[in-house]
Amino acid sequence: MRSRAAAVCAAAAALAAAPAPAVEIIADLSAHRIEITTGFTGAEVLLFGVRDGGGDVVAILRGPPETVVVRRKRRSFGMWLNRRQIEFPDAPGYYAVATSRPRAEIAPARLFAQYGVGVSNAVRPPGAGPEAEAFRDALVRLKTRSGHYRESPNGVSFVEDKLFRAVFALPADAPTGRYRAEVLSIVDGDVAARRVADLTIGKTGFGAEMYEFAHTRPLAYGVFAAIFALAAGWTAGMIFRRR
Amino acid sequence: MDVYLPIAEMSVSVLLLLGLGGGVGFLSGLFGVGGGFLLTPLLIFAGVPPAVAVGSEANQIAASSVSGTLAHARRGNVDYLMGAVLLAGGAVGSVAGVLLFRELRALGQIDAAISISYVAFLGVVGALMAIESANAILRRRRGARRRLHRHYWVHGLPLKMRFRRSKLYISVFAPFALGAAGGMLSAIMGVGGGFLMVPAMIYLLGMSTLMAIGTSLFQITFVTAIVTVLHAATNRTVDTMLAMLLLAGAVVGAQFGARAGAYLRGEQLRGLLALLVLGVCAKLLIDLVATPSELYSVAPAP
Repeated sequence: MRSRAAAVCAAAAALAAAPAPAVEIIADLSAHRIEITTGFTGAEVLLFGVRDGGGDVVAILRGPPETVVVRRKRRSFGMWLNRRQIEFPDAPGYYAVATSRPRAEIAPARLFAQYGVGVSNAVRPPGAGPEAEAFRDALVRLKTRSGHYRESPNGVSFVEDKLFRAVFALPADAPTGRYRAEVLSIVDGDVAARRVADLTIGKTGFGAEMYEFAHTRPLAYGVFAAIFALAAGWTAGMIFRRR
Repeated sequence: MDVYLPIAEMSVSVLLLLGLGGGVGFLSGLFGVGGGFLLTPLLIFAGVPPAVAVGSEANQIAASSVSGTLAHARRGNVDYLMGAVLLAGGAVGSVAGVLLFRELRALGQIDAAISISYVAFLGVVGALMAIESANAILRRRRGARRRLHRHYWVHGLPLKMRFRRSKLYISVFAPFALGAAGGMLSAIMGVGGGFLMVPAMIYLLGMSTLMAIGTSLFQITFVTAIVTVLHAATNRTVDTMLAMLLLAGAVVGAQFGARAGAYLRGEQLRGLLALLVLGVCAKLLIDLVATPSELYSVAPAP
């Protein structure tokens, strides 16, 4: 929280230093590298900036693209089994958008589609047709439920009509890698100015190290897990034999 | 208090895991069963992804069967030659099982496959146990007699080998095939496979009960260790944190179970265990058949 206050002060200082007529929007993140503590806390990142000359602000944070498979169950042989699957080759691993007003009041939907604003514009169905759309909607629904996708229609708040801020919550299982924050200033239904800032998400803590070990050197991890288990079992057996 | 399971990628109550481990450990101390066939479904009910439940259970069984193996080895109840043949089969079976597991996972069918395997096995085992405990109560009134060793066609296959400790001269194919079946079960279901191996070793191979239990424990320890390595290497589904918390509960529970066993009557308890097994089986079956609230699921591409 202290760093956030400092960041806002820095933004105010930047406003004072910036040549006002040339720059319509400036923005930055409270941190450019975040270490998420694995566990159940996750992390927050603050996007802040200054907008000069009115209009609305749209702030987006995008995580690295991932290839995911969406499956649908159908009743077969009396059981509910996965019968259909569609692969999404570049779904964002994280996507959050915050706007100063509900999107419909800011600009026509066409503009947001063009800039990939909004969860359903950011995740494109891998093909045409109602089925691909249904799978896309399911992906968005599931990822929203797990906190990986988020839309905050009033998530951008203003201080004195110039200074703005938006807070993005990252769940504990947010993907690691490079994130990009994008800020759009929208005036009269069109984009007047745009700024980007980059962010790298890493993970820290014992859980993250174990995950890293298991995924980068799986065979070594397996051998470790097996030997550790045999040793632990032997130790437990010894303890209870003496009693 | 919650703990984050790094491979399952979820937070779970420590007390729940210790309680599950302790409860199943108590039953395994009481009945001398491994308990994997109960713990894996219970972990699935607790929300652990089925694939992670299987991989981590194999890891936990490797740990919890060590002390039993050592105890039987000290009393001379392990036929090492028989164990080695079973283990060779177990290695082949577990490689096949893990490869099948990987294919089913890529097809998105592994969760269903695990549940269906459990419904089938728990259904059969629970029913047999219920019948057996009912018969045991009736049998007390009659004198039971049973031949020491029957000869089946499997014993006559080529490559006969003398197993001195078990006092057997049989084809190596029989124990090898049995070991392979156990390894396959272990890889797909996250169980030791003792509930299949021990009866088969007694009634099919003709080993004595104690020798069958000791030797199967020896084989289970190493097969589950192999399954742990294979699952970690190919599927990345072994959560050591989960396995060790379950182990901590299980070793304590097993001590109480073993002590309680001295005071309690066998047949009625086996009947209760049979009901528990059938209950878990019914829950898995209902989850497969009932209309789920969410038809879609998302997973990283294989």
